[in-house]
Amino acid sequence: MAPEPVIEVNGLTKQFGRGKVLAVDDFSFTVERGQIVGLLGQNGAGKTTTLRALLGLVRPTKGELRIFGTTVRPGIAELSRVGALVEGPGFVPHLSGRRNLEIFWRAGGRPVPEAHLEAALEISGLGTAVDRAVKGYSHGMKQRLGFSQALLGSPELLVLDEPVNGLDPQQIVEVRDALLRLAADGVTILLSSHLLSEVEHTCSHVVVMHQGRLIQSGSVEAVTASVASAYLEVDDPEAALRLLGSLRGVTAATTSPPGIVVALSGASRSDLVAALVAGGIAVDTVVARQSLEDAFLQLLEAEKS
Amino acid sequence: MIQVEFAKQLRRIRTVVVAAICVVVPVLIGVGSYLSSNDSSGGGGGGDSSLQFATRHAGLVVGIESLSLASFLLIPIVFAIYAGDTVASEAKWGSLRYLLVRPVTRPRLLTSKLVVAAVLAVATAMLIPVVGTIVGVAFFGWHPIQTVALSGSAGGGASLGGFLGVPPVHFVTFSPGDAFARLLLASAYVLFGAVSVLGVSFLVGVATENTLAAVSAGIGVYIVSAIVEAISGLRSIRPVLPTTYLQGWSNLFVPGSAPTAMWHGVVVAAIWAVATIGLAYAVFRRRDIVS
Repeated sequence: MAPEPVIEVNGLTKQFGRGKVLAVDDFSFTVERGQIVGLLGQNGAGKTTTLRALLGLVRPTKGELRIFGTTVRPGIAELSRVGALVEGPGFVPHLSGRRNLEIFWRAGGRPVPEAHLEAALEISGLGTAVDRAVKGYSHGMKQRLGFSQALLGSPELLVLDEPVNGLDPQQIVEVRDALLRLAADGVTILLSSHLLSEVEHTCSHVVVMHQGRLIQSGSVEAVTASVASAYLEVDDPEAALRLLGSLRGVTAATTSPPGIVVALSGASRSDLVAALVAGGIAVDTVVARQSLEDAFLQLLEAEKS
Repeated sequence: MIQVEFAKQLRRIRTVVVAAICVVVPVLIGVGSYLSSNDSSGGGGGGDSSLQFATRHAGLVVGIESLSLASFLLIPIVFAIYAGDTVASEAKWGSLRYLLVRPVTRPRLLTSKLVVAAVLAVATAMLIPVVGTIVGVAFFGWHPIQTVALSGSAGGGASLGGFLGVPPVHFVTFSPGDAFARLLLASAYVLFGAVSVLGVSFLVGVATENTLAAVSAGIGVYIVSAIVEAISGLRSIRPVLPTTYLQGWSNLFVPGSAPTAMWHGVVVAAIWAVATIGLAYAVFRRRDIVS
């Protein structure tokens, strides 16, 4: 018997108010135990709404969400196995960082020692600032405290919305390392991001969404392999763009100085070179590119057309 | 959860400011009373109460007058602030979503918020008659008080007092202990009446997550109610207004008068509270938390 997925989302649809705009539209994905899954999309793609629905904060218009095999409803007990950071941290401003985490933990009714408060505060790296009122914290400090809060009580699942937002590059690396360590310990992680590089360097799997809909999901390798692109340096980039843009099997062509990037869907790199040479354009360099960024842009481009 | 909620609310500057106002007001009333006791013209203008005291210069009278003056505006403001801000501020801080994911079930969250808001509102508002009494006793001493009773007046709210026909008056004396007990009962009545404000502010706070809207709505209920009361064409809805029986407690200081107005006031306040708080639970159960 295959182990039960930690998260199952089936046909999630969410419409706010009576407007016709769907924040999330028939969206499905699963997250297996131990995976680090990146929920990737531009701002407004519906990532946060999906995470809120997963935590029982927002009621689906249609569809079903399950965590640990249980249908999500507001306040279900399974949420105590989840650590969350959704749309920025939220703390009582006049209390200290430490007091905030204590109060947060005690509200749930599990014994205080189970929180492993000191270990979580250690991760925040706030030092003596944990005993100062939160209202004096910088955005980055609050974000780090929020990350610590999510880790209280050793959760089995972490749901993190833009976890590195507002952090400086060194802190981003620290968070990334912490996530990889947690995953190595068997914690399942779902994080949302609009930063491709973040997802690419941290996640094992990726779910790409755009305008509320699923574009593609799978392992990072599988998603990047599903699309191909090429970087070329030519003597006349503008002429090359015109020529390649209308070529069969090419999804998109854009400049990427000093060269151009061409997203492929059927055409091979040798097809490109042949077409350019036939068009009288000299080709200097051809490089195969398969980063998640290329894949993402290409998937979005394909969605628009 | 309730313990946690107390820890959160007690240290707020807002709590301190509201409590300070509830101490300053009765102190000012006491000082005013003391200063006016030195000039021969006597008191005059002791609130809107239909209650007439033979002398305003008694310790317990300051407590009673503090309650009377505060019952129309200060007490409803205290209730509106505590009830309206409790969920709205949590939403504004961004901590509401984390509590719910903790998880704290939605009814449990509302109950702990409501209980703590009500306890703090009552404790703060009780400062008014209690501090008033302490200040009054300090200035004038712990003496019996005398009220002026109109013969044959039974029941009757604020609107019934009058000089028409000049009915015979007689004085009634209450021992200090008796008067203080009646003051506490009167305070309980006024505070219970303010649960209509508490309910409305709580409901609007839960529904809009906006503190200002919630507090205004609660105070607005008393203001609108008092205006409607004054419009003769709308006389028919007076019995369900939360302010109609606000002064019903004055019967406590008129022996022989039936407490009809007070019972009516208790029922009206209870109906307002049950309706608004019930609706708040229903709204919160279904609400999408997007704060």
